[in-house]
Amino acid sequence: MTCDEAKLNINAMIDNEIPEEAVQPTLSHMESCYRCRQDYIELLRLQKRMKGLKIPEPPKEWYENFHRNIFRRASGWIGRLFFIGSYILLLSFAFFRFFTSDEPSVFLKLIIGGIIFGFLVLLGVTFADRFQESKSDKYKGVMK
Amino acid sequence: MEQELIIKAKSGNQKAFEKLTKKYLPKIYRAAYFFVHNLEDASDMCQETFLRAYKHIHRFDERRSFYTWIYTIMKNLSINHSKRSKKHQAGEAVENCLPDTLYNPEVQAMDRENNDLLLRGIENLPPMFREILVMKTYNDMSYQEMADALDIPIGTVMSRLYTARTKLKELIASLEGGK
Repeated sequence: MTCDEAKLNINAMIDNEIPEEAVQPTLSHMESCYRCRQDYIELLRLQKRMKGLKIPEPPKEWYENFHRNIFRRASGWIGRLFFIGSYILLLSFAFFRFFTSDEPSVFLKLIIGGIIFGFLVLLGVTFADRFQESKSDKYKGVMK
Repeated sequence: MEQELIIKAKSGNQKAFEKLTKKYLPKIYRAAYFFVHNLEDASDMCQETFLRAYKHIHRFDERRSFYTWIYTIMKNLSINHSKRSKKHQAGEAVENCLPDTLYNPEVQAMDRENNDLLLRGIENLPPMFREILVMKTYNDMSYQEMADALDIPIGTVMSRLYTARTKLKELIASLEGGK
């Protein structure tokens, strides 16, 4: 076994992932090769050091409230649906009444109509842009 | 057991999803931390990851590893986030993470210094090597799981991991030399 072949096995040995048939040849190689033996010791030392690493942890409450937050956020769409849906219905009703009523002048109706038309065009353009962006989004397949 | 939980979660059982989350949240948090390098963003990434997993669990193929699936969601969210925010804070202070009970101030200072050095070493690794090292050391993923998650052969996992460790040793040595 060469040192190059042994080094990957040594690495796998650290992770307890070395194939059974490779254990003996790797150990024999290490017995006769000072550098690989040293390599093994250094890798073990590094592994031990890494296992002892401490990273900043969120507070306990964060873990405890985690699920509640997820479920709360996930069910937020029901609220949004009712709110936006009712809002759209209310606006539609108001516009319907406004345009069908005889009271406001035709001029005022034209102005309000223009504003609504402009808003709808802008909304359409924004949606079209978003759609184009999502088509080229390389992370969109992540949930599949 | 896990398969059962996944099937239940797919049918809308919140308790089952909660159990899955409890099992994998600490691992996902650690992995996210090494992508975004700070506590707040890592916590946000976890929330987003599990929220997306919850919303889209019906699409999950239970023959695949659940952990690999959520890991992939977290990884892509984190990469996207890092690109957007450019808020990389290498070597963020780790003062709050060491136990207060360390009795000897000298030992405490040394531990902190060692911890900081190692953290800086890991954060300075090229992303490809940092990721594989974190997967193995802090997520206890098997070579097969890593190969699946990264979509690379096991041989590449082995050689990349070896290179990552070698590079980290060199980085730590140079950081220790320069301190």
